[in-house]
Amino acid sequence: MAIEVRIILITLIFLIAPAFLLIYVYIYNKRKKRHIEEKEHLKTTFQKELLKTQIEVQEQTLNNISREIHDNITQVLSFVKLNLGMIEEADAATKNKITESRELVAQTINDLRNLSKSMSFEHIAQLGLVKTLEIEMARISNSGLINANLVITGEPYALGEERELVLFRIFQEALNNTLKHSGAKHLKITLQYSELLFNLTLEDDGAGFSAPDNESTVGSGLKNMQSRAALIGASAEISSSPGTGCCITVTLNPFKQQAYIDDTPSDRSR
Amino acid sequence: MNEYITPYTVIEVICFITAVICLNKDKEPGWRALILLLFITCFVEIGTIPMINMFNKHSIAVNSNAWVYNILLLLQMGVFTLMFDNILGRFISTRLVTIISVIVFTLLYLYELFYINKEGIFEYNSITNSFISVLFIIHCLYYYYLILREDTYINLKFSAEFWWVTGTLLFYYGNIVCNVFYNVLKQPQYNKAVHYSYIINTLILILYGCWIYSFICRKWLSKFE
Repeated sequence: MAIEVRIILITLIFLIAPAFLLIYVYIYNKRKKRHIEEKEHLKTTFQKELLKTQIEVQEQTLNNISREIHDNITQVLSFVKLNLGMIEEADAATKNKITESRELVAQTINDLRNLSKSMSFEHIAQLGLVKTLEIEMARISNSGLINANLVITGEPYALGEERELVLFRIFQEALNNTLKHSGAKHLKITLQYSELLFNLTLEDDGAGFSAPDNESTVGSGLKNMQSRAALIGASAEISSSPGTGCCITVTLNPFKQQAYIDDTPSDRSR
Repeated sequence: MNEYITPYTVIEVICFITAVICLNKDKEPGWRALILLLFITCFVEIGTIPMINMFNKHSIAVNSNAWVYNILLLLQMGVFTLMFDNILGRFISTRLVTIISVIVFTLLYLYELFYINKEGIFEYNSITNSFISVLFIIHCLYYYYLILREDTYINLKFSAEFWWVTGTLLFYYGNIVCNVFYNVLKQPQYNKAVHYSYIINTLILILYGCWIYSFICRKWLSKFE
């Protein structure tokens, strides 16, 4: 073989080494990508499962408290009210006090029943989101803490028990934030039912807050709302600035099914 | 005129123009310095063609263009060091390796120039050239190791650094072989001009082809990385 050909062959062989190296790097990198994606998927699934479990435990606890209030405390209070009504021998001033006390006990029983209903999953599932929100709004308005107003646009349709429960809990979280931090005088809740989209909007005229720069600075309450929304395939947007109040919008595609929705919640009916 | 238009000069000029378009506003000094390196390389490649003709007529050392390439070697070392400092610096601290490399290069360059070369600056510093080839290959291989070790995924298709390193690795890998066989191929009984130019032209095309794509990635495609 001529030396020139030999040299060219050796050069080619020499160049094959880095070519193989490049192929190896490329294949390894592809595998790494797949591995990272799998890891990310597992992480997301784990976080979703964790959140789902947390919510289920929370729901169960709330359900137990609700039952305890309904079956025990309100019963005791009813008994107290009856006992007070059975007192016959008393002067006018004492009778007045007894009547006032009976009214107060009756009001407390009523408040506790409402509270029990707002905590109970069964109650929300039974009445549906719209009715539950109406009752809740009436309760808030009667309390005098804030002037609450519910607006419903479109023809309401059922979103599924789980979704309605999660939306109701988001509403409760937002309401809690408004009452605790905003100092708002008015709260407007809008339920928008359209063919392909459902919107729950909560607007207040409170102090507002600066928009968070990044995800890590979002408060735990707000983050919680977003996580809950993500669990049912919805998105929660929070917009606010100092002095202009706060607006929370939860958007949901009612026809997009999420794994969580299909699951039957464990021990809900106990 | 035709002697100025060779695959060599054409691809170099295209690469230089691409570098000007893509890298003139780059934040990294290493990448911007490539414009200067490519400009001087084009200038040297085209400017030394009359010197080659002169040397072919009168083959004496002072007519050789080796001194120009000896100066270019310094610029190559400087720009490549900056580039590797920038590329590897994303993963590790490169200060010590850079300092040692520059010191060894300088000592070897001066030693070869004054003690090995019979014609001094008019003879090409081929040992230093081989040294920087090995040095750059090690840097390239280390870069591959680092991207494989890295936890985050890099889309190599659109990675400017990856394509720049790949071009450099393939060129210097082949360059070592050329250096090894240069003495054999330059013997009169072999058609040196044909074989040597085939290899070198292929290597040059690979190098500048990878670099052009790398500059395009740097300017427009890095967001997909």
